[in-house]
Parts: sequence; structure tokens; C-alpha cells
Amino acid sequence: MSDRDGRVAGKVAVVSGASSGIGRATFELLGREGAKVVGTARREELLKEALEEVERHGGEGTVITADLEDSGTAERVVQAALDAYGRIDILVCNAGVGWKYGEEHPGTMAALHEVSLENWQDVIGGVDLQGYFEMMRAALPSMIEAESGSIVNIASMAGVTGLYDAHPYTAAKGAIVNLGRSMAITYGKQNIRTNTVCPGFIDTAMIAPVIGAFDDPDTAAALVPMKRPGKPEEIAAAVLFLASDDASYVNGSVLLVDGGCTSRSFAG
Amino acid sequence: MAGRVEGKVAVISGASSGIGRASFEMLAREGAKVVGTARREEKLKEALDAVEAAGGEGLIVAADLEDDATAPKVIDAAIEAYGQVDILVCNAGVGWQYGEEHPGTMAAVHEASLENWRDIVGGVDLEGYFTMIHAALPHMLEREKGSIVSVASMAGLTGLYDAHAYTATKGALINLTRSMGITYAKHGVRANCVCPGFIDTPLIEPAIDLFKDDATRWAMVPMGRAGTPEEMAYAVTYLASDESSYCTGTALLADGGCISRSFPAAG
Repeated sequence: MSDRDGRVAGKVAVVSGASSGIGRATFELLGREGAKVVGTARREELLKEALEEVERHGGEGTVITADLEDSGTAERVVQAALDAYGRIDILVCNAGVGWKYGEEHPGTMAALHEVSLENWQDVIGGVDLQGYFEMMRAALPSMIEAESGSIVNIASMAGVTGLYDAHPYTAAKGAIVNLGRSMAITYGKQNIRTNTVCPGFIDTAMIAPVIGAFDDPDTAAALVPMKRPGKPEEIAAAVLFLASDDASYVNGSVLLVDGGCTSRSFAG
Repeated sequence: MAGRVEGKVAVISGASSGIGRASFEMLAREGAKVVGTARREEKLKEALDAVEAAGGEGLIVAADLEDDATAPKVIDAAIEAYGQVDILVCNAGVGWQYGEEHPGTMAAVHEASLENWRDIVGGVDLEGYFTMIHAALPHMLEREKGSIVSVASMAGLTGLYDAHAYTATKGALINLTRSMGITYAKHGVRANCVCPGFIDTPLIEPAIDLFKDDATRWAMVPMGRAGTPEEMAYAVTYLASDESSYCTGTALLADGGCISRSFPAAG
């Protein structure tokens, strides 16, 4: 625990995809800043590591190993948080698929003409979109009853601009961005805020197949104005801001954290 | 305990009231040395007193950004006193009261004279941002370090029924921020903006009473209330600090959901 109370002290935060990358960094940061953190992901060993890290800093939390593709997972995670801590103040929806998924499921991360209906349903009906829906739907009743809550969805810069491939993925991210706006205006009345973080290239397992491109300085400059990928911790800091009461008037916001990627018309 | 902008030097325009004042005080509380400028000396002194009462440190420069010499003077004062400028918060702008004092400036295009237009676009609302940024940039580029936070408005992303010149300047700031963000990224200088909605400051004083009516306030803002200057200062602090080290070119909406909807809910 830090030498002050923490920016989310006393709150309860549920984080999906907490075993690695942005979710893991967020889980640990929210834990360090005083929240009781409830993490879910598929890989038990990595989740345990994450929780140990939180506890090592004097934080508190619990982990639930489960697959968001299984029906009932979201409800189970939310119920576990309510059973353990009595409420949910913060929901961070983060679990999603990356380029490796495309290698394992050919066609899912392709351009539309190469995407089968099954590929499309794998992404849209999988963790990338339906998983967000299920987590939010499970958490909302308790937030509405408490008339308090902050939902932070991790989307992508590819939810506000296009990609040359991964078309179902970009559709899912765009859907999350605008679903966030609709939820913001609908549940603002009940003091439930919904905001979206749109990361650019972040050095996580999700983009492992392309991270090598940053080794070449010219390519790095062509890819990102800041000439580097971001770190999971840099996204976690954005999530912390939106999740905390610091952002009490921020609702429906789409916060780009992309090193300037989507601010340009073309690469300079 | 270490603050979130400990050891940094922050320059804030429009520091005498509203969002600027709240940012001035918050950045100081979080450990920055703060340099505030605005026209009204008395109000600035109050702000500095508040900073010092909380154990912070700073200085103030009473000056008018409509005067071309003001921006360099403010930046020079900061560098002279503290040796560096890490954070620049451009915030000074005009509000609806300006429109009352200068008829036509906060009007729709067909009611605005060329002079009205120039008052806004060539005044603090846009040129004032340019002169402040222009004055601070050489120093930031030399140090390869800096964070510029411009306070724009939700009305830089969506339109208004009046104040057309004002909306043009806010839109200009947002896209100028993107251009600066991508251009100076390789020099370690970040540029971002905050887009406030209705905030309870003198800027919207003529309109704030609308929030007293229960039906009107929900029609105006999904959260049913105006924001506070402190809520905007939190957004400024996030973008000013190293917490946002991968943010550049961003327009951070802090509007209670105002512009996320296509139209107000019926009932």
C-alpha cells in the first residue's frame, strides 16, 4: 500500500482479463491504489501471480478462473465479488482476443472477404463483444440499486479508425465505443458512469506477433508518432483515472491512449 | 508524500477563476510549482494565497493575453524563477458575459460582424492559446520534455446554436492539439486537450440557472448537473502528469455525457 489512502481506496473493482497485459496492470494498479480487486481470466497460474503481486503490496483481492465464452461466467464473477465484498464500484471490461487468436482460428482476424460467418460469430459472439455485454449486464443490477458505479471498457484505437485486417475485431471495438456512449447517457441518471479507453499499440501478448516491427526505427516512426509501443501500465493509469472519483463528471468519454497514432491523417 | 506532479513547473493561463484556478491549486497541491496568469490581480493573489496556505509554491503574473507581449513575459517569468516549464495549461478564454459586453461576439454567424469574429479568433480564445504555446515550445523542445494541456470545450466537437466563432476556436484547438501531438511526439513533448461540458464557472453564469429546473437539467446533461471546476482540474492533472505518458493528441471529454447522445431523452 502506498503512503496515502489510495485513489480508489475502499472501492471494489472487477477486472476481466486480469491475468496478463492491460488487465493485469490494471488489476495490480487498482489493488495498489486501495481497491479490493476481483480478477477473472482463463489461466489460473497467471491469475494467482497477479493476486500475489497485489497482496505483496498490502492490497486485497480475489481471483476467479473462468472462460467468458462459457455462459454463466459473468454472473459467477459478479456474484463472487458481491459475496466477498458486498458491492461492485468499478467494472473494467478488458478480456479480448489478439492476433494470436487469428493464428489459432484462421479467418477471425482477416479482412471481411476472407471472414466466414463462423469467424465473425467467433469474434462478435465471443469475448470481444458478447463478453463485454455479459460482464456489464451482470454487474449493472447491483450498480443501479446502489445508484453508483464506474464502468471502464478497454476498446482500441481500432474502434475509432479502421484496420486493413481484423475487420470483425474493429467492428467489436467500434461497437464497444458507441455502446459506452449509450450506456453513459442512459445510466448517468443513476450515477453510473461509462467510459472507454482506446489503447494504441501496447506491448502485450495481444500484439506479440507484430511487436518486432518496432525494432526498426523507421518502421516505429511510421507506426506511431511517439515511435514506440505503450506499456500496459500506461493504459492502467488511464483506467485508474476513469474508474476513480477523479473522473466524476467524465461520462461517455472515449480516451485515446495511443501515442498520437490516430491523430494524424497520414504518416509523416 | 510525493504528489502526482512533484518537482514539475506548471504554467496556467486564466488562473484567477473557474477551471484555471482549480487547476492552479490542484497542480500545486500535487507538488508542482505553479505560475499563474490572468488579468485580475486581486483574484490571482487569492489563488496564490490558497496555494501557499496549502503548503505549495508559485508565482503570479497579472497580464492580458490580448497583449502580444504577455505570453513571452509569463514563460520568461516561469523560467527565471524555476528554471523550466514542464506543464503548460492553456485555459484562458471568454464566456457568455463577453458576448453581453461585446454584442455579436457570441452570436450565430449571420449576426456576427467580421470584427466580432476577429475579437474571438484573434483574441484569447484562439490566438491566446497560440501565443502561450508558441512561447513555451522552444524551451520544451530544447529539453525534449513537456506536457501541453489545452482546455477546449465539448463545443469543439459538436455545434452550438450561437457562439459560432467560439465553437470554431474550440474545434481549432482540438485539431491543433492533434497536429502538435503528432509533430512533437518525437521530441518528447505531449499535447492533449480537455473538453469540458457545462461547468459551474463564471463562463456560463448566464446559463447556470437552467440547472435549477428539474426537467431542464436532465434535458441538458445525462448526469443532470453541471460539472465543477475541480472535476476539470482532475482531468488536467491526469494529462499534465506522467500518468498519461502515452497520451498525445487526445481530446478528453469531461461533459457528464452531454455529447454522447443523438438527442435528449423524452421524459
